[in-house]
Amino acid sequence: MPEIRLQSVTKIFGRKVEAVKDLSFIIEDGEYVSLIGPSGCGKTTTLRLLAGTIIPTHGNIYFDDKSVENLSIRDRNIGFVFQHFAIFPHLTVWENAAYGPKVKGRKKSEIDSLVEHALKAVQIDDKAELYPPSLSAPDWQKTALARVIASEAKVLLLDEPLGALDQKIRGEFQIFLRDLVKNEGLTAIHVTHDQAEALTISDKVAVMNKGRLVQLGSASDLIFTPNNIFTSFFVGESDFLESVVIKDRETFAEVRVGQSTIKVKNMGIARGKRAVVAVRREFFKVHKYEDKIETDNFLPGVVVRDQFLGLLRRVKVKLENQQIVEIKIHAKHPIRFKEHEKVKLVIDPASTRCFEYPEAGVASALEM
Amino acid sequence: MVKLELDNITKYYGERRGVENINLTIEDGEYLAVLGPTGSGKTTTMYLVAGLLSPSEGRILFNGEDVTKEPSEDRNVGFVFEEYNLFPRMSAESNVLFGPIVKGLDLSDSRQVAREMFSLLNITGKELNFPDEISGGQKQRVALARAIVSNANLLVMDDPLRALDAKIREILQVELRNLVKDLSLTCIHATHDTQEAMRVADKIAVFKDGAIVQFGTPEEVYNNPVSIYVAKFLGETTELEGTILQEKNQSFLIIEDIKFEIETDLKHGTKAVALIPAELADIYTLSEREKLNYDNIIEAEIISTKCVGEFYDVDLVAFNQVIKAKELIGKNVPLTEGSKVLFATDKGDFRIFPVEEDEKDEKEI
Ligand SMILES: Nc1ncnc2c1ncn2[C@@H]1O[C@H](COP(=O)(O)OP(=O)(O)OP(=O)(O)O)[C@@H](O)[C@H]1O
Ligand SMILES: [Mg+2]
Repeated sequence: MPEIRLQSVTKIFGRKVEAVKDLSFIIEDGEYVSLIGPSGCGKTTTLRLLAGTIIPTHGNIYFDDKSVENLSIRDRNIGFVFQHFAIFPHLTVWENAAYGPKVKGRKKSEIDSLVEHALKAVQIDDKAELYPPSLSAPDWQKTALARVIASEAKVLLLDEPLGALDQKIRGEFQIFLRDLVKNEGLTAIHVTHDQAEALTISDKVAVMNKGRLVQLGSASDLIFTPNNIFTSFFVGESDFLESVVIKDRETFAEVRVGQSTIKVKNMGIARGKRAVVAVRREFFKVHKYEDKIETDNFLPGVVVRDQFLGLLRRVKVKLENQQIVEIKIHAKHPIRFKEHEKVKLVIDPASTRCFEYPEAGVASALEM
Repeated sequence: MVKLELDNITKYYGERRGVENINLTIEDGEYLAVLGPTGSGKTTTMYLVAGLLSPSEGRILFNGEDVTKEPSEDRNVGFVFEEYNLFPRMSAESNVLFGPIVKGLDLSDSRQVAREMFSLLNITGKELNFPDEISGGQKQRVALARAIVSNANLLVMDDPLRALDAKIREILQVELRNLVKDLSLTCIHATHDTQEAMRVADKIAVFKDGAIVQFGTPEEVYNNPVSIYVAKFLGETTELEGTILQEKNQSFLIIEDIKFEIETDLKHGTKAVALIPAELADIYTLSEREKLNYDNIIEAEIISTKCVGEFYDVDLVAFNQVIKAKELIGKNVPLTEGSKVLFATDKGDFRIFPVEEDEKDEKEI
């Protein structure tokens, strides 16, 4: 069964475009992994490297410990599904699914049973005789998936497979897709620009940036315990507070932000060092400055803007050190904040992350 | 600088209706977001404005002047459509400068603007690459740059941020709005994403089956959707059915033995459908009841929770109904499955519609 291993894979296009840089990770047999990251970070390139349509400039890829250098594209046992459906419009659904086994020279009876199984698995067996132009967008994608399954692929590569589907259908299709992959025992690698989709559908999510792997983890790892500044920035939204550690003994460290001292999670940064505290925008609580509150773990600030966006509100606050942070609050938060109003931004230390200050500055760590 | 008016515009594709009797005015410098599902007429409307299609009936006016018969080239509209791909045999930069070249504009100026756009859109360095040498999202940003650098005064964009990740999309939503305002452009921006619409736009138009069913500011549309269709399109909701009770200047919705205080002008005894946006359905622990200040508080049980980013999507059960709630992840409520909680709403959270409309709606879907 395939375990896929990338070992220091680099892909350079032309002379200098490093699309993928020193990429190493392992995808275990049967795992559903999503790749996310800013546009242009190398997701599609990674899939193409796995598919074998391009070869690494440096490094190596292994399928079950076999280097791809000695493995033809066909022996990788890979199937693809892209946003823009790669199925033949002039063949019926059944014929589309039969294409793979036919090319492989399977016997008629084998083809029949493979196709039958595949069409059932994707729940399109009732449309076997139809031609793609008469099908809906989800059925095109199901046909593409049936083709992969009938070809007995073990690894499924998906590049924005739900990109052309309406929002309402996407949610259902995500569940369908995950169930299909699990029932058929496939290993899936799924590229998407939709984080919620990645977090819903996969066992693990790989965050990439500028050709590199930034973090590989479960949905909750990435949301609640990002291990670097970029993940905190990219998965959801965070504000970054530049600070200096002044106490580092307990579960919580004390840091200085401007004139204020707050407690944050102690992540091993020594006293006296500069640090970057990441706080997710939903984790701040905001109060009027004159309100009596139970905690002194807050930063004072002045409201710049309170914007209503239906689902939630975004409040921009200027801190004493002039930094502007933006927080997200409930649409029905009882107070509508006025411009120039003084507020307290309460921070729950348990929900913070505290990272070493990057040598080249916070902005450099956030470059995409 | 252009005020755009669509005067009773209808477009049929053979037998099939694209849009029918569209009346719409966009003021000079206004940013309009267009919401609606695939096939609701958004794209047709935008094609008509750009002059890529001509209407079967009706007039299109730019600053009061009838341009219905004018070809696209003469309308000075910058557009982004999925079908209008980049020219495959031209570099990214040539794609962007194509418009200014055709129009005979000063190229050194246009180059400067193009450079700024590439930088703003974070694609600097891709100027000399061909479309098949850049990523999907980069292509889309080149197309956006092309529309803006074309020196148009009206921008028409069909889901211009579609293939981009949330992070870049959020940044560009803000940048795009600022840019449109700085350049005093009039703009139409179609999207599937309610948040995007609310963030970029001055006004929102909601499309359904070839017609505009609601037009207003983001806040008006969100707070007062005119139909079940609009309310559902804006986001996830819980749908409840009950009977209106009018009593001493207060309105209630009666569902079995539960009584929710609501706001409505519907008559006593009317059968009504209530939609509660998931983000307005609030959850608290049982012990918090005393300090809560809500119009309606009932007990419920959590049956599932899922975290997909900034919200927990929570399903609750109360009085045999499933209720959908979204809770910002910062909130300190233990959201474990099986636990008993309080489900709290205010009277303004219910979007109330008489039942007949619902049935009609159902048939059309
Ligand atoms: N054939 C090529 N020649 C030169 N550069 C290329 C080529 N293909 C890709 N690139 C560059 O490599 C980088 C990674 O591209 P890739 O298509 O992998 O990005 P992606 O993560 O899939 O982005 P998106 O989300 O926008 O699809 C980009 O900067 C892109 O411009
Ligand atoms: Mg891609």
